Amino acid sequence: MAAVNLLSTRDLSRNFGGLQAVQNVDFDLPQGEIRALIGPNGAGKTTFVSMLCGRIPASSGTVTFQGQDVTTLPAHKRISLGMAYTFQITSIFGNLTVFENVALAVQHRLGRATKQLQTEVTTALTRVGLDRRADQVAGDLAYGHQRLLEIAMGLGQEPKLLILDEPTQGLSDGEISEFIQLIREVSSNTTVLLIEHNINVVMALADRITVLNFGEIIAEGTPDEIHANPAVQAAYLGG
Amino acid sequence: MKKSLPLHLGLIALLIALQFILPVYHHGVLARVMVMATYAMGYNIMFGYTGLLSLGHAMFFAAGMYGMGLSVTQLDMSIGPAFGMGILASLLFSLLVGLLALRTIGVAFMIVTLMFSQTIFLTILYFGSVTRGDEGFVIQQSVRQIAGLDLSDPTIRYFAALTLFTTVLLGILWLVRAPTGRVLIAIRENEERAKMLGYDTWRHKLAAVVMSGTVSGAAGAAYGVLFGYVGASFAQVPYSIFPLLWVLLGGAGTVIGPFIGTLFMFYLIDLSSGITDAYMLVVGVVLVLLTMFARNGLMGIVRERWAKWLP
Repeated sequence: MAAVNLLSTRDLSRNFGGLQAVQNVDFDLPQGEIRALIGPNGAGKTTFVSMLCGRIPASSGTVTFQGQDVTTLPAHKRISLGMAYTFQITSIFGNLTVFENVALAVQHRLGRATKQLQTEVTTALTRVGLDRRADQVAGDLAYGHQRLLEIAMGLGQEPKLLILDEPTQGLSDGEISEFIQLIREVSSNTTVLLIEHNINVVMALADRITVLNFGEIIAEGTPDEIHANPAVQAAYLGG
Repeated sequence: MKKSLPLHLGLIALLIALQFILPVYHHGVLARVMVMATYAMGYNIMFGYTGLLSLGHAMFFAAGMYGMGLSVTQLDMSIGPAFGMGILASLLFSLLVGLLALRTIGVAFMIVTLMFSQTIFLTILYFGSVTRGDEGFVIQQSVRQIAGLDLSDPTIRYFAALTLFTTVLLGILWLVRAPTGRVLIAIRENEERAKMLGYDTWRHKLAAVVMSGTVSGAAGAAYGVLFGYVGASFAQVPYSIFPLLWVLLGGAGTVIGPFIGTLFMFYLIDLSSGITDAYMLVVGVVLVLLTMFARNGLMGIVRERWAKWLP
């Protein structure tokens, strides 16, 4: 694929004390792709994406976004450049309404509170099917709906790169198939990096898959290639 | 905005009307309450809306008060410009405090603000030759004149206090609906998430400290102007705790709560001290009951039960 890389890392590492959570990862994400990041529990997936969006600093190595070295930029600046991150552990504004949650995501891009804000918030909520719950207090939503709210916040940011950390955790089967549909739509103008345990979601969505184990990339390829890869099977089955 | 603007304008209209009907004593109390409620509203910007608990707000109140008072006594300024100096002093001082104190969070932030405030109190005592230390100094009635109006006159004083109160009340009502205000609330609710939506939370917190400190300082300066006294007792720990209490009682994170809390506390002390010498016991029990059964304060209850739209 000759596409431009939206995001790249070189030698990216992070250690917590003596624990090497991520080591020397070289990673390229071409524009427009849906990439799934998979790996056993504790493989370093969340640590890795947290370094991409600036939630935790890298111990060494570089992160390049749109050709710009963002390794030392604080999180809010990277987000302003066009990244969005939805949390693995649901992180919403629990005491605010569903509408206000998404409005905060949209407002950063639009600046002033305008009519456009109203429209865009409603659009984002409609896409995840939460439009009728706009006035509910976010903390009162069912867990699955809170996950959808997280995704709506990500959509509201209109990012160039949308990083989803286990988005389908806690969703029902029906919601998962709607989610797959939604991400397909989104990917027409957004690059998506998806951490996901649900292998059906990965197979349905991913253009390519990167497999992380013990903080290192052990395989990368199309879903079919990954499916047939013995190293991946070994990592998952402990062989 | 549909319901909240009439409510807040209604409160102001009520306060204007009360000027003409209140007996002298309550008239004086209310003027004082409006100035102190302004202080509490300033405190509320940080505590109620941004989630930053300061234990040293007396330093901002004192910065405004002494900035005004010393401009009169040391620089021979007239009262208008001196009041401006009070505001300027508290603005610059809160910027400095914000830059330093915001390097800490949570309990450390509380301790740092407490310590800074104590430093200010001790500094006032140390420069006793200028500040008159504990004793404080009086702003002469002859100085407290602006555009031919005598600010020590009860009616003019009442309207001056009301003007300050109204300006700050409407300013905060506007702020909490403005994009900046929404971000402050987002920081209070979940700072990490606000950051991951692209907001520079540190900068917003600094803005909150400066706004909060400046409004508190304006209240301090106004207190000195309207009641003619500048003293170190206003820089002491109780004056850091009062706004916290008023805001908690009235309802943190509501625009009107600080006024309700201040008014409630003044009359609670006033009425209970008329009944018994052990009035602090009465006050204490009421405060304990309120914190047990109305954790979100009086206006917090109103918001929960009847008026979810209350800003």
